Amino acid sequence: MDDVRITLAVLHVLRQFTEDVTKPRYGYDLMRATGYPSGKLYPILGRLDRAGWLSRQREDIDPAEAGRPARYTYVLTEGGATRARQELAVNSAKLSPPPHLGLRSLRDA
Amino acid sequence: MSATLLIVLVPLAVGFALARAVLADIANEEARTRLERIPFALLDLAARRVPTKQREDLTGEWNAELDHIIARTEGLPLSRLVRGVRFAAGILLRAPDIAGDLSRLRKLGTTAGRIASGALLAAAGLGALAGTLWLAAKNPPAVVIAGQVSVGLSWFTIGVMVAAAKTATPWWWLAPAGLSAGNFAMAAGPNSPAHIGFGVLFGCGVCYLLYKNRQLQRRIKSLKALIDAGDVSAFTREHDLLFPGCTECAEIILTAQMKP
Repeated sequence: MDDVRITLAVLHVLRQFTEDVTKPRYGYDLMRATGYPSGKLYPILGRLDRAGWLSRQREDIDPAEAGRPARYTYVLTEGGATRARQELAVNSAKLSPPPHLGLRSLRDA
Repeated sequence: MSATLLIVLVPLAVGFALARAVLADIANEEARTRLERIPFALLDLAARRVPTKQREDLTGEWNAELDHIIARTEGLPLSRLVRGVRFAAGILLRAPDIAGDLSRLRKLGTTAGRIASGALLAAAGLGALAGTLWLAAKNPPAVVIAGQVSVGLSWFTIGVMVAAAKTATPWWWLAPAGLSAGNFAMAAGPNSPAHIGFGVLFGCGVCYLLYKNRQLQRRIKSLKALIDAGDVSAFTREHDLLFPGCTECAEIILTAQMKP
């Protein structure tokens, strides 16, 4: 599995996947969940897919029977889930405010 | 009015009204169908921007998602159009990035600008032509002036768009600002202070943009040299300085890191 350059947007997308690592996600549903437009979300999904963090699969349906084309789903791979949790933990620690800027200091201000 | 004439005119009027209603309905249907095809047409254009081997797979996914978006807005034609176009336009602008097409490094920072400037140029040209024709029909002697204004605006638009695309400057504020300034200056009449001032400002603006473009091209050249030499950390550092917040080049960095 390859490294991916982690940005806030990538973390935001990974956060959606880690809510339920087994749940397959559609691109449009992720757009709605993250608020990102297609031009921002799909390149991220592409990078994560090529790096092996995500697995992309075509729905196993008969389009004629379902009355719609088969959509593609994304789900975290086993390694991807581990790396996603690590990155979220590391970056969450990095981005959390220092103690002197915490809620207590705001309340006391 | 004689009874005979009434017998002829009434069916004619009814027939005319019916034909008019039917034609309007057909025209509405035609317009609606064509509008609904716009997002799919944008996805077709996007497909041309990705490598052939990935085309079928990616367009399959995009079209299925668009189909889903459209199905969710059944009975809401405007929402359907807006959401569909928004989805497809995003894909169109970033298609090479989605496919991980590394050849885009050649045109770093200018892809979106080129597409957008092309679309705006076409729209501005059509607008100028329509304006000229309208003025010509309304007031024939004005056609010469209208033509001059239109040609002037068109050239001005071309200048601004080319400069914006070359410098990767956000076209969405340059274009309307430029067009407004151009309209204002043209309306003030030839040799007026506004006209002259605009000419001077435009000239200076183009020179500045070209100068910035040259600087940008030099820095992109040095970036390319870094990645060719395999100096990933220097590339990343320089890249972040040059394009803060850009996440499009992660694939380039990844590929360079994987090189033996």
